[in-house]
Amino acid sequence: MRKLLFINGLIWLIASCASGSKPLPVLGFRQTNAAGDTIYHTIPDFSFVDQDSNIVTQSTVAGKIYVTDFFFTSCPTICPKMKAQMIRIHDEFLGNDSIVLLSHSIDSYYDSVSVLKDYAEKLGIQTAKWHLLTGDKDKIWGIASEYLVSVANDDQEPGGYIHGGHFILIDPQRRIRGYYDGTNGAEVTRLMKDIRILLHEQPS
Amino acid sequence: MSNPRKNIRTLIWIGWPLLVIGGLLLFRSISGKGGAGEKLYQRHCENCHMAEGEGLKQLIPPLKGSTYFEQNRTAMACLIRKGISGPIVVGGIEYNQPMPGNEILTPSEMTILINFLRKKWYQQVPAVTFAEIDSVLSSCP
Repeated sequence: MRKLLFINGLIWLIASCASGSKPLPVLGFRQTNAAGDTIYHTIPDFSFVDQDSNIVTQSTVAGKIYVTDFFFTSCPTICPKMKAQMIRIHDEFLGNDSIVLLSHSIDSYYDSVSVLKDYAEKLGIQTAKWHLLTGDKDKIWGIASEYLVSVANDDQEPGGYIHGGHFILIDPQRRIRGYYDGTNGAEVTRLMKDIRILLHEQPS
Repeated sequence: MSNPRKNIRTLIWIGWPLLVIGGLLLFRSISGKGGAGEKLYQRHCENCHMAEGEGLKQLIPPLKGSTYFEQNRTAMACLIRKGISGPIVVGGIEYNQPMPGNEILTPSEMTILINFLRKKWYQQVPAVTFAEIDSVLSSCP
């Protein structure tokens, strides 16, 4: 009997390990409304232009999971490494329309649509999967703070800007579900695992 | 008061991990892994040219397998110092992403870095000396 119990327990353990990825936390500020429900921080509406001059808004990502980051094309520091990692996600989920990638350029002055187009072509990416976004500097910088990441001017820094190297994972309800170091291959592997967890999550 | 056998045992317990660490450090310095050249590469080059010198698609040219190094063994120092802008053809592909110059690296660091690149990807090319690099750097175009 004890042996049977032990085997039972073992099977349960294996089964739970196989199926059991822990649900992802919801990150960011939260409030409680009058009814006592938790209101999570969500990304507000936005409107930017991508490398093919498409207007990209919250409707573009409606009901989808997306990964986002901040960069600029002339960035001599961490951006190429981040882009090499983002290409991994692009290639991995190319056939899955539920996943979209949004990269915001923080250099509105130099990164025009045609510069972004050229950059996208050299990276060999598909616009429908991966939008490189430009727009008003204030709007781009403003939305960075909604994603809780920082961007800044810095004349001391090569390229003239500094920004975090994070990839941010957003769920279909536009809530922040994870931050990953976009220059680190192991972290991006974790991100791709987390995307699969989100894909199986029931809408709440 | 002290037991000599106990002292020896303590010495062995402390001693063998130190020996292992020492051995590892020696191995790393000989193999070039974790060496000064690799650190300089990681700090100043790897973000764009990537860990294995593969570059990035058609945006950033690879270091590995390019003939540029062979033809510009010492002139590399000025390329790194001054950067480049405008189109460059590497391996039959035209790249046109400006590379910023690096004013921070000292001549000795530059020598170590170029010798690291040489050792990693161009072993057939002779090593550069500090004197060569120092003189090249003093008259960069």
